[in-house]
Amino acid sequence: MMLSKRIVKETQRLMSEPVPGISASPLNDNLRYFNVAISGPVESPFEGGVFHLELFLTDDYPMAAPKVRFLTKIYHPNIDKLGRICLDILKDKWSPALQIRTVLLSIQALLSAPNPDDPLANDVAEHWKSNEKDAIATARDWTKRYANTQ
Amino acid sequence: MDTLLAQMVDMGFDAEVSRFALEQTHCAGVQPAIEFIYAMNDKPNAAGFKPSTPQRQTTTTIDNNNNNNNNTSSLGRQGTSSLSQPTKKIRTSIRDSNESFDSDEEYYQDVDDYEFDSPIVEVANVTNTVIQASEIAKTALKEIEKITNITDATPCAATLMLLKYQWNSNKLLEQYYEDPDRVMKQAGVPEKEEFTAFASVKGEDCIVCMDDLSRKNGCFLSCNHAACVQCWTTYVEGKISEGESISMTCLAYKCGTIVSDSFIKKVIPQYYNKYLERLALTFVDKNPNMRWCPTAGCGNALKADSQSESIAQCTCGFRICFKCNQESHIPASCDQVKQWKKKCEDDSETANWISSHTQDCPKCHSAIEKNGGCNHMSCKKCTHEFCWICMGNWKGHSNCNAYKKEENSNKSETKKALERYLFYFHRYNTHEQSKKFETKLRKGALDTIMAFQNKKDKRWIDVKFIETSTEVLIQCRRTLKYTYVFGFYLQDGAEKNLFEYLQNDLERTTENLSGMLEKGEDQNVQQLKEMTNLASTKLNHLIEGVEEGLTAHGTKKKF
Repeated sequence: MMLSKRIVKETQRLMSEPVPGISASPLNDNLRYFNVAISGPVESPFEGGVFHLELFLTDDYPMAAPKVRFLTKIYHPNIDKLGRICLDILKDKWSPALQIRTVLLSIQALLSAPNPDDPLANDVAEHWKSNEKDAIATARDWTKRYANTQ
Repeated sequence: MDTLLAQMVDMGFDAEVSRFALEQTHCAGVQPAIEFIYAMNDKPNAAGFKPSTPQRQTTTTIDNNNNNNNNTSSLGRQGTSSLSQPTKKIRTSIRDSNESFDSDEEYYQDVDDYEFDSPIVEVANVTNTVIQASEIAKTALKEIEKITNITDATPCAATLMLLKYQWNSNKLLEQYYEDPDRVMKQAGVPEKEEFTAFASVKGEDCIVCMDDLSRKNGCFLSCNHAACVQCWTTYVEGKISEGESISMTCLAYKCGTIVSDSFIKKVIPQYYNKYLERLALTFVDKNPNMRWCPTAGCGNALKADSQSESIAQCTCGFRICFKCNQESHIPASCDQVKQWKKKCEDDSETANWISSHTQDCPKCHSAIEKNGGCNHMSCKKCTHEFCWICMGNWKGHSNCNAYKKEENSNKSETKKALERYLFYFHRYNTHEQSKKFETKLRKGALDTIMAFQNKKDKRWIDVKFIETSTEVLIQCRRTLKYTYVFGFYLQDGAEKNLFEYLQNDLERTTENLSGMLEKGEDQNVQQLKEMTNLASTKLNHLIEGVEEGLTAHGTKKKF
């Protein structure tokens, strides 16, 4: 399938005006597949880490949401151990007016504000609700262990 | 005309009716006239002539006995017009059986006197409306039109309001007259339904594909989120295929502006019909008085005519319980069936193993697979006749429906419980299997009727009741199936004894009827008719018995 004008424009803009703390670049041989890196937001348990994700634009894009998944292990109540993300705009709240940029910004925001009341990883969410301090410590530990670039 | 008329009278049609039918079909022949009569019978007022049509009665509500008091006396012979299949319900209840059971005698006497005019006793009829699949969209649109005519709201607004009030137009209108603005607001009717289509929007790109909108290709709703025609089309197409219709909103993120039907009609006319079809589905989905017929490929909608109605029947023959959306399960309650089904799922491994489809002949032990609904089996090999349910000798076999507690108390409690469950499950399952076979008879009923006509030289009218017999048989089977659920949860005692007596009674009659119907044209018409009536009567006894409480202490059961 030919790459739509929209995907070309979006890609150009992502490269020329990158979002702070987010990088996204398509593969050379598949311009619908993006390698994404999001740095952990400051004052979050993920601060200091760099999280790698994959993002794929299906043939239905932009009528259907892109497929996004964490590749880096992360301790977060809305992200499961396969890296799948529970985020409304990736599901029923998707609008064709949203873009790769807005999706990645929403994921970054999710890192700053975990929502244990709408969990994907139940055990993590339970931990978060019963002992937030301890859960945050685990998240920090995981960040150091798996998302540390040094 | 006279020859045709004579022919029809000869075939057993009423002279007056025949004449009218012939006139209406311009004397085209006997066949069109007969078809006309049957069509007229279905739609009594269509031709301005009213042949006697069966009166429908509601027997599903509990307190309707008072209406039926006059029926016992009028059970006698009906007029000679063979068109009529008078629907009579013999009033029965266990407590006053003496008083009303003479109707049974009366009935049989009746049969002797007037051999070919015995009425068919009808069982628990239901009075719901069936909306054919093809009519659903039209019916929904009529409702919308009704509201637009009265309130001069736009079709879009009317639909939103109807949805809000679950398609209850009376309630909607009542509230609308009190405070139209509040109703409109609650239903989410947009203040402005304006939109712009095929406009050139200078300097702006489509928010979806980023094409520029300078070529008369921009469309937007009152919220001004502009996208090109192509993107709107793809968007609406996707939303419709996801099942959305009137609730569809603007394609911009978090924008709640409703995409009105007029917008779709103008911008995406090719999907307008699909859109209306989807809308019609909400007419059934969101309407508490309506249900889809669960039969695969049926697609009809069932509408209960009153709130108290709990059972509805589709033209395809399926009966549904309106409360739990399952097959009608009289005499068991919704909860019992739910509990039972869960139990069956849990225990299915064992149950499947035990009640697998073959059983060994109790005499010669050859494996036998049942290929019909009748439980009166005769072994091909040794000609031994036995009951498929209890495996006992058919001769002198009377009641196999009561679970006999074994005195031997060596068995553990759990094993006993399992055995008890399997006992009921086996019977439940057998009746289900039989019902499946007998549902096939429904399709063959017409062939049987034809065969009867040819072989026995009977008039069509005399054998047409076979259709009814098949329906009665299926109803008996369905009820019997659920009597085992009901029985499983019934406490031991006088009530249970009485219930099992009625159940046994019905079971035997049903087996007889089933055997007769399966034999097809070799049957005696009169015997078959009698058996049908007997089965309906027994079925009525059982249902009413349970409805009214089997004993004086028994609690009333509600379905």
